[in-house]
Amino acid sequence: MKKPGIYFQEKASATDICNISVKTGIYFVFSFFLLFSFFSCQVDTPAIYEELKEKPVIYPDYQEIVIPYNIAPLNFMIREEGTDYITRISGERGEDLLIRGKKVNLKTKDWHTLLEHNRGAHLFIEIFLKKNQHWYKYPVIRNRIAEEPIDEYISYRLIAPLYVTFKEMSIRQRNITDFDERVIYSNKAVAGKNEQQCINCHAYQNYKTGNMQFHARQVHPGTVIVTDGVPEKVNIRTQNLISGGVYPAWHPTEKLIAYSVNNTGQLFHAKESQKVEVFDLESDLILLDVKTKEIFVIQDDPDSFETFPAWSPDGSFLYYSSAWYKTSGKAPRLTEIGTNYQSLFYDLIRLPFNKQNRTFGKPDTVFKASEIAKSATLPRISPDGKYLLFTLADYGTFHIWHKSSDLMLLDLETKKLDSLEIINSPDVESYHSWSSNGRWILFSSRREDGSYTRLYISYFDKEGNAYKPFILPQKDPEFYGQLFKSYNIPEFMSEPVTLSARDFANILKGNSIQATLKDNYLQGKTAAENENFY
Amino acid sequence: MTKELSRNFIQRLNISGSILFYAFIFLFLVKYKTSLFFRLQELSLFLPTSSFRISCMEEPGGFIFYIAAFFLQFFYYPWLGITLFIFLLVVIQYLVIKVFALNDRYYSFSLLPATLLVLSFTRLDYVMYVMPEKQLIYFWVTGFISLLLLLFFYRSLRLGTGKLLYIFFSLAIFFPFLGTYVLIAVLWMGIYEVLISGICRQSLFLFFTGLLFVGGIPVAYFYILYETLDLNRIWLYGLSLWSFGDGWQMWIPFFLLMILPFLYLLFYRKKPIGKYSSKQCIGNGLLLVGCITGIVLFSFRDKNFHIQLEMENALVNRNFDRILEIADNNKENTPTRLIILYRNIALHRNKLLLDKMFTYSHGAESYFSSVPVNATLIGSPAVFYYYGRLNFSYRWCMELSVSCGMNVDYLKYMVKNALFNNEPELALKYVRILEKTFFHKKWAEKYRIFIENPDLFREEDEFREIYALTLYHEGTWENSNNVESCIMSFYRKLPSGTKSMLELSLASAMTTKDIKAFMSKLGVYLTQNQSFPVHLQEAALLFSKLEGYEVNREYFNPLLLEKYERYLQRMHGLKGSPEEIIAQHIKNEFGDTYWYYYFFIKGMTTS
Repeated sequence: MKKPGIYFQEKASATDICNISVKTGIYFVFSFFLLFSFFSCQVDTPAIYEELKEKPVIYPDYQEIVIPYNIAPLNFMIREEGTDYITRISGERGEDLLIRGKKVNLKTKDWHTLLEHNRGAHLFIEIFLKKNQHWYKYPVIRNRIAEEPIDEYISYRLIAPLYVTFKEMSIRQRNITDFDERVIYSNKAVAGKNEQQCINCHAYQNYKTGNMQFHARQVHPGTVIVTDGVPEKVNIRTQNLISGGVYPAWHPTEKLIAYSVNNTGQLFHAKESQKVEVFDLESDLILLDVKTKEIFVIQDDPDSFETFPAWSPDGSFLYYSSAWYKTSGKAPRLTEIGTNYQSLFYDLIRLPFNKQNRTFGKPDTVFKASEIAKSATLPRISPDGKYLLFTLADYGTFHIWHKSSDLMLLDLETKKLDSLEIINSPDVESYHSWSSNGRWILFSSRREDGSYTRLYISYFDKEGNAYKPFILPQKDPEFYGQLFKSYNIPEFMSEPVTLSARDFANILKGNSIQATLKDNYLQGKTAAENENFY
Repeated sequence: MTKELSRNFIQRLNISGSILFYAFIFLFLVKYKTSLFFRLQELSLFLPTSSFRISCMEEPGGFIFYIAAFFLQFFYYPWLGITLFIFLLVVIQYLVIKVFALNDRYYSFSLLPATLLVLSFTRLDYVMYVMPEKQLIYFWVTGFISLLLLLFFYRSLRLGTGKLLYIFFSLAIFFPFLGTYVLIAVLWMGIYEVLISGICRQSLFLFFTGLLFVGGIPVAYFYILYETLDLNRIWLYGLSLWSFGDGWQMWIPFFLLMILPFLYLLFYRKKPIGKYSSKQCIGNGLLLVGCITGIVLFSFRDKNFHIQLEMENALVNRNFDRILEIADNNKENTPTRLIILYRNIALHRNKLLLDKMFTYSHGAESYFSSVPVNATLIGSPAVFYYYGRLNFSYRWCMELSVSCGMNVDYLKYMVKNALFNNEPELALKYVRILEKTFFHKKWAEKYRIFIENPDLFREEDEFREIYALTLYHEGTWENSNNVESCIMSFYRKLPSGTKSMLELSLASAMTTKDIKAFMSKLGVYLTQNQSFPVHLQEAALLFSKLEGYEVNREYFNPLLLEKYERYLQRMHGLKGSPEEIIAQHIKNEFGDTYWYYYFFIKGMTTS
């Protein structure tokens, strides 16, 4: 038996030496690789650098903005030429994130931790760039983190910039605290042989998705109305209406939906950069009782076009746009209005509404855009009832095609008009939505390239000041560059839609419940031959 | 007595036959289908980006689509694309031989898939312009390879649990990637088992269980991953469903391809008896010849289709001389309206429109296609662009990209239209996408310079030519749904414009035989220009006679005046004859004049 102690091996064989050498080599290489990986993952800002004066060009432009603390990471790319990039994102109260590379992709968890710790304080972005073996540092980008959160969900329709043809269409919901996007419904579920289904106008009651609706056209047409989580398919179109329901507005508390009914025309500019003009040939307002499926006419003046209904937060007023136009009858309506589309000016009107007996009072003009030869559409009241946000352009109704279209804010108490210069751009701003706490505005804009609609978010503080907007963040900063679709009808939701796309598809494939016009109020007025709206 | 042949000799013969076959395919495709392949890749798009990959994978079979799109782009250099295509055909042949243990006797049968796949390309007609997935034909190539590979590995397993698990996991893992092709593969595994192992409990169990999996796994995937799709079609994703209907004929090679394994399995079962004889050798040879003949006979050979393809490819590089060369080489051919439009674009660019446009053949030949097509669906982006109707060009790029998919061709026109419309950010968006492609980077880089330096763009010939056609005021709304009508109507009624526009205006007036429009602009043209083009002289002489007033013959070419006198005499001499006879006589002598066009080209309908 051997005594304990150190024993030296007898003279090693060549094989032994070989084995030892191979093993050692493998350990060495492995360790080196581990160490190398470890140290190369360690990012640190350069100790020596030159300070630059000009601001960095980053895309998207997440500079000098106010962001909610629960927003998804604002991933961006550095559009400066260099050989290496280091970005440090830090808060006033500590925590920082270091990222190497031209694309700054942040981990959601780390990002949220940073923002949560720095609520109400500033967020700093420092960018270091290496060029010709020297490091340079750009001026610090200062953003602010608001105290107030943003609604977690938004929904929108994704479509190609619409001319006539459409194919794939979907209504999607996005969790804006991360990058999760889910299809609420897609027309792929009911592909027709020679036709495609058009889906549009999703709307929710008071940010909740238990009561919601959207339309489907052409293939399995009808309106899907979800009431207390139960979906139904309703045919709103009746013989005496111009069309089925178009732009919807859920009453905030009652099971009522106001709709416009529209007969819409579309023409193409041969030369103008605005390319397309969409206008109503007729439009009226109706009210649908979701429970009884009865339709009541609200407004149907043949010489005025009423559209874009929207309720006040307490449900005591119905706001809408209205333009007056009397055709001469000398030419077809499409030709006459198509020739004079630049003289169609919409004002903002509101009707008092009595919830108890469901009657409307006399119309009251809230904003007379026609007096200044402008056209106001898409009225939306802030949740606190103080402000009216709307779109103002040089003429017409379909402002997504009007580069002059801007968001405007009317203080309903002081009647002061704010042109929201900080929000607007030289290109289109249109369709907007208030967050449920009234602190965030979500809107559509074509400011990126003039053609594809993207979604922007702007902070709106308690004093009624708006802040520079920022684009909806995406996981890949280059995402928008490769997207050939536009975002349409963005709406905030405080909760996700829980019904599945399959549920909606099944409902649409089934029979619809026919809504009935309560009064023969529109007797003699027949539906347009070609229902055409967007 | 049949001669017995040695195995070595047979193998060498077979390989020689294959080489001959592929050499023929290469030469045939290079000679006759280069323009088709180039155009196909222009009408498609592949991006090596994660967004593109993700968008491909939104439906089952997305991987097949992705790989097909990848391969299709190599037709930018047609010889390269054809070589790659042939390489894949060789792979298919190899797999067929291995999977079905195809005996040398039946060697030529291994060329049938290649024959069908070549035909799937060479039979393509105008449908290629409207089919949403231009990579469709390549789907079949890559789909068939994946099918064979699945069968290949399946064969190596023993009958029993291993095969059952293989079937299950093939479906479970590959359904999102291969779609219908893995379903077909599993069906073939079941059929293989029954035919090869014989009808026994195990093989039948495998077959029916496979069927069950084929039915159930896609449904499971629908509920887990694909609930936004159509459940009724969940088994068909990967096959490009749009053309089940009008364009069903183009699916014939595919259906034949899918039933080929039946044939191979019969050979598999049928063990060869005796040695290989010279008769069998001849049989193989005949089949080889049959394949080659089939490709030649069944390929789409419509002349107008190929003329149009060549013209479009020339238009990509703005090679107007080439377009006229093609037109000159096909003067006797009755063209489609689109060919005439392309021809006139080239003539206009070469300042020959009013001298030569009526010297070519006239017509409104139909587009012989398996699905309805028209000039607007095929050529509106290009035609509207070259006629200066840029918004309409952009509109149709968008419309067609929605219905047929975004592609390189539309992107290029959209870049140009955006540049002209002073929308640099929009142009940059499209340029950035093209910069990500393998073969269109240079083009994109050139236009990026123009975006960053608009002055440079304004110095380009292309800019000047198109810009000269855009100096009009927006008038009343136009119907841009029919490209030729829209252009003819616009230019015919044009109240004012540049010299370039005036030429087109006069050309439109002559084409539509609008005497009033012509005469109102002739004087303007003559005061602006020193030359008096041939067709204008012809029309002026004719219209003045029809309207009953004299023209100052000093301005006319004496030879033309002489020719006109001869024409009048000829017409007088033929008075009383049937119109067809008159037309024939006049065509022989005066077929290259406007006079012939005016009186004898009738009933042209734009399409």
